[in-house]
Amino acid sequence: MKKLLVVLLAVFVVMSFAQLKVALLINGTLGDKSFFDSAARGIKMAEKDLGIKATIIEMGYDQSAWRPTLEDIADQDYDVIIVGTWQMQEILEDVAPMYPEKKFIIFDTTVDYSKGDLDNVYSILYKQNEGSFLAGALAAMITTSGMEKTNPQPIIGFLGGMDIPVINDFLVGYIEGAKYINPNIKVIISYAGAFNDPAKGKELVLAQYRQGADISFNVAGETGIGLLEAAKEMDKWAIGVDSDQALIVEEKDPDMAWHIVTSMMKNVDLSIYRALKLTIEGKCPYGKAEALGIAEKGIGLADNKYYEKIVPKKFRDKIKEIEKLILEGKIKVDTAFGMPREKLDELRNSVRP
Amino acid sequence: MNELVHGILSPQFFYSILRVTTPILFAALAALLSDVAGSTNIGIEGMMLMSAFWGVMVSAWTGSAWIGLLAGVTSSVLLSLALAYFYLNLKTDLVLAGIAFNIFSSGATVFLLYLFTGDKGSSSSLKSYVLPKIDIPLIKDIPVVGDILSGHHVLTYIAFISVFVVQYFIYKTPLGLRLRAVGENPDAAQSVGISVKKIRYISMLLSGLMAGFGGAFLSMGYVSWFARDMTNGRGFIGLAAQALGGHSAFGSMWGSLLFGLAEAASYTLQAIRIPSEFTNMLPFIFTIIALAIYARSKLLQIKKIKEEEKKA
Amino acid sequence: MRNKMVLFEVVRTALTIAIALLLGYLILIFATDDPNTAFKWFIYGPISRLRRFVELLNRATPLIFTGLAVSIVFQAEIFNIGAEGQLFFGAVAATFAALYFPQIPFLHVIIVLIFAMAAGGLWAAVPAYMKAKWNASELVSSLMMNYVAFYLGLYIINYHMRDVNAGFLVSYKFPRTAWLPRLLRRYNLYPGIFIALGFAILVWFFLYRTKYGYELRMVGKNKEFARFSGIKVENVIIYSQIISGMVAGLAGAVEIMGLYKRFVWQMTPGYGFDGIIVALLARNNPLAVIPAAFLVAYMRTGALIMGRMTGIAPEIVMMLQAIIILLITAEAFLSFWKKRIIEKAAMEQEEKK
Repeated sequence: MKKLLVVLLAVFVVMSFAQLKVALLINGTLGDKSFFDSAARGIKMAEKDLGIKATIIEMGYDQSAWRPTLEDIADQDYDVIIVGTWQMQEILEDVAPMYPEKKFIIFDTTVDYSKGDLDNVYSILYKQNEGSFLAGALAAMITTSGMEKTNPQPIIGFLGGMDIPVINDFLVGYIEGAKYINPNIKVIISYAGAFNDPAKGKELVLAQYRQGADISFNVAGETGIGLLEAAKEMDKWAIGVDSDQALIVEEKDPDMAWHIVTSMMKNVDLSIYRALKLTIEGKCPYGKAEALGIAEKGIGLADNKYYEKIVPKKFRDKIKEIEKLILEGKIKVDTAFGMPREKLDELRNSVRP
Repeated sequence: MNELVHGILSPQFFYSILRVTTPILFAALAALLSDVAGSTNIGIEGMMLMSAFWGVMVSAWTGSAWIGLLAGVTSSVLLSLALAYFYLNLKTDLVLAGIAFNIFSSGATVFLLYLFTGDKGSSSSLKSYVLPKIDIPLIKDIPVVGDILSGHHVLTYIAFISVFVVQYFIYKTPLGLRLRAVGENPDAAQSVGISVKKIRYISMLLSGLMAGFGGAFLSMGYVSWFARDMTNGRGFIGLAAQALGGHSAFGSMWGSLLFGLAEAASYTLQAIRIPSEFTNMLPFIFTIIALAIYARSKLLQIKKIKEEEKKA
Repeated sequence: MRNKMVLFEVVRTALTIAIALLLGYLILIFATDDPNTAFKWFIYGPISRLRRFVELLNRATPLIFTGLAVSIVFQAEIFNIGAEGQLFFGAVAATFAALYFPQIPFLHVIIVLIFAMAAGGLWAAVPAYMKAKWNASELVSSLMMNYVAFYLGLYIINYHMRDVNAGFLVSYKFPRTAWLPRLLRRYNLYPGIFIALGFAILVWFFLYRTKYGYELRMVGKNKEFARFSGIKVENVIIYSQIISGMVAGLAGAVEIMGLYKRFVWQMTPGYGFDGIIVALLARNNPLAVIPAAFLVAYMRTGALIMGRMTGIAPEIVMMLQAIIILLITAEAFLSFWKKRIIEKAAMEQEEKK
């Protein structure tokens, strides 16, 4: 009898998890071809493979709607609610303790667990500095390589969405990686001040190319679509971000894809998929933050046909070598999180053209 | 630092001024064409947005940028027709109706985008087409000048040509004369047999035409997609540029170029950490000062006339 | 006849709203296979749960302030549409006062609100002075002031009060003494709505029970006549706009003190233009502003809830708002009926003679 009950209970548990109801709240809109789209892709993958029931809600850019939406969704019968970015962090810290029976996942930032009752929140961080180190190294090699679309000046570009820690984490890795290859490298750094203004992104990057950059790193969400367009228009190089952007644009615009040497992938999709899988298996570490880097496949350069055709083998080998050094801990990449402002400014000024 | 100076004083910088000025110039001409007939078209922003949207949609459906342009401009003109109907036939306050049309366009474009593509942010999942760039023979071979003036988007040339056309139209044609007559004194115009309503309809439609070109430029040249609220206040900036320039198309052009210069500079100056907020703000302050000076001189003029009348 | 005219305006407004809703339903038929469910959430959403009703209250709060602000200038027949800039700059000034003034409980909140009012008033004073002194169009100058407020405000926040450790362009968090705190434990209700209601009564008292309010309304009705009867029209033009700006300034301050506890805007929130709709619906009557603001907030909350539940773009509500503005301001809409009321009254008067 007891055994039967246990079996029944087990079946019940499996059943209820089989129908895990998940909501992904996007505090913006889809279609950025990078960050949010990647999160949505992770949910779609989980829906297909793990048999969850998922809803994706685009909350738009009006912040007054974000908190009410999160509360409203938490009131409903969802088991796991996923949000992302720092802007949702304070709201989640406030809302999650009111719903101890629900699970929350927040990506690309971490809640402050010292604020108390957040045992039902799992935070996912990414070591974008490691991947950006590779991107910086690659850009530094390409800019003086004499390849087509380049000039002899050792100038590379960086387009950030905003001057904020998570974006600067990319920047720090990028600069350090570029300096690792060429200590005299110059980096033109532009911030668009918005993640949803591709027209401004385009203008900023056109200005970068005019000032002698021949390759630029896109770290700007939807704004970065402007960078890809600028690269195509001025016939220069681009490094994509978050998703494998060459593969995303190739169908619609093959010409644009041939301007994207690689993408620094921040695998939001895989990390969300992994978190949901672990949740179903009962192994997801709620109440903790995890940082995913190259070792955990949270981060990495896109290795696709464009990368192989555009980038010479010796550069690709060099990237592999650096990747190994990072994995072995022989190269330590600094992070912008907790970096004093003066130190960040010093680093930025050291590469100013 | 040298690269930076090079960046600012490069021909490409001046080239980019012309490019970012284009939509503002169209908006300013739209503002001018309605303003000479005495109606302030606040709805330019919404008309541009509509045109930008339909331009992308129709070009994606038909595969032709030119049909897209036609659709965009048509949508803008239709919107201006509707605005004119509310204003002239239903006696709606023009400013409030203009604001309503802006709100409508902002909502309708996003909603239709969602209906047609499923996206709520931008049309980047669609393959839409852009209008071509044009190299001007002879000029393109002149060093520096060629780099600045040649190779622009076709609508950029249309914008600057329109300045001359509009100026000629307003000051050298009978219809332009009537427009001005209605703008200066509608009662007097009516009394000499000019249909004020008809003239204001015409000026509204012409205004919508210009706004349509401006919107189409944004989504079919400046960038190659539609994004929600992508006009980003350019319709209003056009009103400001026109206010700077008074009732002259050339004035509107200089006003627009000032805003264009500020915008282009803000992108380049960011590299030496000059806040773009600052560069972007300056032209608006210029406009306010210019408005004050203009209004003051006009007031003094009136006073002077009155005093002379008294003496006489 | 006066009662009949009031009735006429009420019916006209009701009919306008009904037409807008009907159109909304028609649009939904095109947008979805299940328009009934979507429409149900739109209409019933805001009152379906206490939490959603609180969301409605919070949305109505800034609209009451801006509705009042616009009503004041419209009563004086002045087209100052600068409420957007006034509230933005009011919020910036509030941020300054919240961060840099001594943290004395209660008093701190008052100081912050006074700063916001002063900033809003100052912002409105520029077009007001230009209008009174040189007869410059307040329409264009107030529009320009919106942009100056926006860029200058962002400059002040992003370069002088910015929390560099935050993951977005936001100001430092306000100290607790500058919060409008949450009133209920589980619901995000803050006292903003009560302040707004209080101000509606204050503005009504000012307009209808003081000499200044009387003069303001006289100038609105007939400027030349007002001048003739000894009213200093220039003074009225200035103080009406300044008072309007002060009320608008509060809209921004109250919202950030209640909902975010720091400055978070990188775009203007749009409440200034919403205020125009509210004022039109209320026929510039401060007490009628309250139901008008609730109505607009209701439609918006309903649309957002519909979006949350069905995925339909909530922007549909903007089209409905536009239609409401157009029909209410269209003099010719239902004018035949108005004409009949007037004719009938005239005939009755004739008969009495």
